[in-house]
Amino acid sequence: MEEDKFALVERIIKDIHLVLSKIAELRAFDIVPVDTNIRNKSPVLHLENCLGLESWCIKHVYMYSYSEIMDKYCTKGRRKTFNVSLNSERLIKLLNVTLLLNPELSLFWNKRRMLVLECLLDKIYELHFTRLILSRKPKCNDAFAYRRWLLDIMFKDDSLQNNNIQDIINEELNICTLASDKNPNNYHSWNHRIWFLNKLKTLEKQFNVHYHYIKEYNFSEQWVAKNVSDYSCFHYRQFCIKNIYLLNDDLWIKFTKSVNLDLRKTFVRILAANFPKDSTIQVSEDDLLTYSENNLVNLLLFHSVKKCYCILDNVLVCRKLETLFHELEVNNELIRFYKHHETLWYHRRFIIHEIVRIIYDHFCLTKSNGSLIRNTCKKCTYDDERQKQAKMVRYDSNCIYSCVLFNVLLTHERKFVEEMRMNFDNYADRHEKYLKFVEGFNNSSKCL
Amino acid sequence: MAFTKKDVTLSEDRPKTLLLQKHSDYLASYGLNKDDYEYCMTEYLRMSGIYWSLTAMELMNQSSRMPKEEIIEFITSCQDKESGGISASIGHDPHMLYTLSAIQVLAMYDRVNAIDVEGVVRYVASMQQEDGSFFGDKWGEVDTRFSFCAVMCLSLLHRLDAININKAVDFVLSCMNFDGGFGSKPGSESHAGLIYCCVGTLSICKRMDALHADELAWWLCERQLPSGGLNGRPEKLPDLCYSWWVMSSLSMLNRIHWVDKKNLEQFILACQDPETGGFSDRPGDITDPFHTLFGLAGLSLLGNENIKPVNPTYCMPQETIDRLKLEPQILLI
Repeated sequence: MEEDKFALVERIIKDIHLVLSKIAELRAFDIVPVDTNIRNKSPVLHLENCLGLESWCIKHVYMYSYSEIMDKYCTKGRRKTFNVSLNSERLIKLLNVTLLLNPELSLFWNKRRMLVLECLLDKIYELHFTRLILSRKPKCNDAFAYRRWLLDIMFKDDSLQNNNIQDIINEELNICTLASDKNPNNYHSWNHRIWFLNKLKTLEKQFNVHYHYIKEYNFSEQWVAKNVSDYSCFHYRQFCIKNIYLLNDDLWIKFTKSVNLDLRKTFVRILAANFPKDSTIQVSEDDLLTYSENNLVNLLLFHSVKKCYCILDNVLVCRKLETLFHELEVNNELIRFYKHHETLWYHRRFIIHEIVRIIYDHFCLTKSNGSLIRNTCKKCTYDDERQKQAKMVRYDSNCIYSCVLFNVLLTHERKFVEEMRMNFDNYADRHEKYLKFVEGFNNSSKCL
Repeated sequence: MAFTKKDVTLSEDRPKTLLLQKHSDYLASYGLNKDDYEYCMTEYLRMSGIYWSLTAMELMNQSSRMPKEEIIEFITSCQDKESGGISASIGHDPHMLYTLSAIQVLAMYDRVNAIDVEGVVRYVASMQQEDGSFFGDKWGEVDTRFSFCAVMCLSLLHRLDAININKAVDFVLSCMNFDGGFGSKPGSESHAGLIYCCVGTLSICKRMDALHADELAWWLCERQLPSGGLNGRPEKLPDLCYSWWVMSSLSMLNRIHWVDKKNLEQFILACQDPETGGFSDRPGDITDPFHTLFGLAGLSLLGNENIKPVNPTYCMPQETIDRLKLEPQILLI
């Protein structure tokens, strides 16, 4: 009886191996719930690029393969002298089966790493194999970590051609997208995507990663609009926004064309609608559109209390603000449409925080333990009289609370919170409190 | 906020009292059948399983029901002679996660000398990188969890001098987000479990001052849902283990009163299974030792007097931490 069982398991291992020989074509693996072996047929299913295994057999197959690997390939003492090449084909077959069933076995992933280093397993095959694992377990961090390890090695290889890199990029982003789609709030797939983009940054000699920043920015804008409860993708969106800050002049133009929107127009419209009423600013929306970046930033953040003579990059500040106000506008629409979504309000906190940080940076201030302190100029590390100036003087905070940009933001948020309160979105109250107590909006004489 | 959709409802017939004896029985019989498929599927984390069960038993003052000598012998045979690291089970590869679990168990038993302590110190130190981060094992995955493993492990051995603490702290701080939270790597999303690891690291390294305490505590207490349970990230379902990760972090921040303790207690108690014993992630699910520990530890933080006091940084009985004369930092307000 036992021998029959072993023969059956051997048969299953062989059948799986046969299907896996066409791994490049396989797209998915799953366990198919079938209680007993009623058909008396092989439980290995191969249909249209998919590999399936009937559930009745998994316990037997798993226990059998796991025990054999542990007994023959991982025994203590013998491990040191063990030569993987000795019977690597058998080992690979067993590793394939056990990892498909239990992809959290780090030990077995390590065995594969050793086989790759000895050139007994092909890296491309391994990428295909992990894709199969992720099709069933899209949150499997061991599989993502293994991919990172493989890609690290591949990118170090000088013979890697440019068009191959392009293939790798498409495949990697595609796999992340699939895993994120299958599993909302997938920490690992979004984390992996960030890792990958950062990895590409280090390869800059071979191609321009900035082009991908634009692509990913546009991809994430569409994605978040369809996944308003998934903060992980909003976190990725924030990463994309910060990458946009890094674009040079040429790419900024490409970027503004690709978003198909006049960012400056959106920005100026929000400004004009929220200018402080009591102020002497008498500029119309049309006038503002004629302003240079420099003039616009000077209007919004007038006096500078800087003690050094570094020239601030007002073009960059203006671009950041255009990007952030566009984001704010999109967020307004999403919150209006999808009520009661904590994720959307959390993302709003990020936008506000980034805008406030631009103001702080402009006045060389930084927040520490809830209070503002003087910072040194980031450009020249000017720290003359640093000791004396460590304490904030009232004059400094007045700069913030009286600058036009801060007041525009304050008015905009006050109006929006009011509108959403009327819309019965209880997160509006929470947002107001957050701005007061965490972002420090209550320090202004004009409270929210 | 009754409009929150992603939450559970506690039923009227849920457990409302603490079923200590049930939990002790559950853990004592857990994993007795070693040929079991389940046992085989979870062998890759066996060492942590022992830590969860033993700590839970210690907190219930029932640790005599665990096979002490057998456990110590098992740990000894899981140490890799060459690297000094400890693996999850015999024949598995050494890893920071299981090295920590093993040291925690030995520290509770006051038997760290059962292993080659210098080997462990050498292993942990060898995992630190130039930027202060730590690998999980020789294959090079970086995660803030491993930073926590390193400092907790070495502090239990009184050997923090073996690594560069300043760099370790700097790396953890480089993972801080605008909301005051932390993720697994620089730029990763804030996550309550990883926040616990990072706050714990700063607590052991006595650098709690570097936190943005108000932002962080604000984010943490927003994890509480109407059911009383806590989630680990926005718009996720509540899960019992976050009762530990969120509450221990808030304890280190000295702001545990920012959550509704009574509601949380109700949620934790509802996660008990009155038939099998043990706690599960949410009411009605299957129980396991992992959630059983964090259920008990959570109740301990809430001040339940039938459970021994737990230390929020180490997730070990306070008496062990006192015996080792460790003083993890708690933020003064």
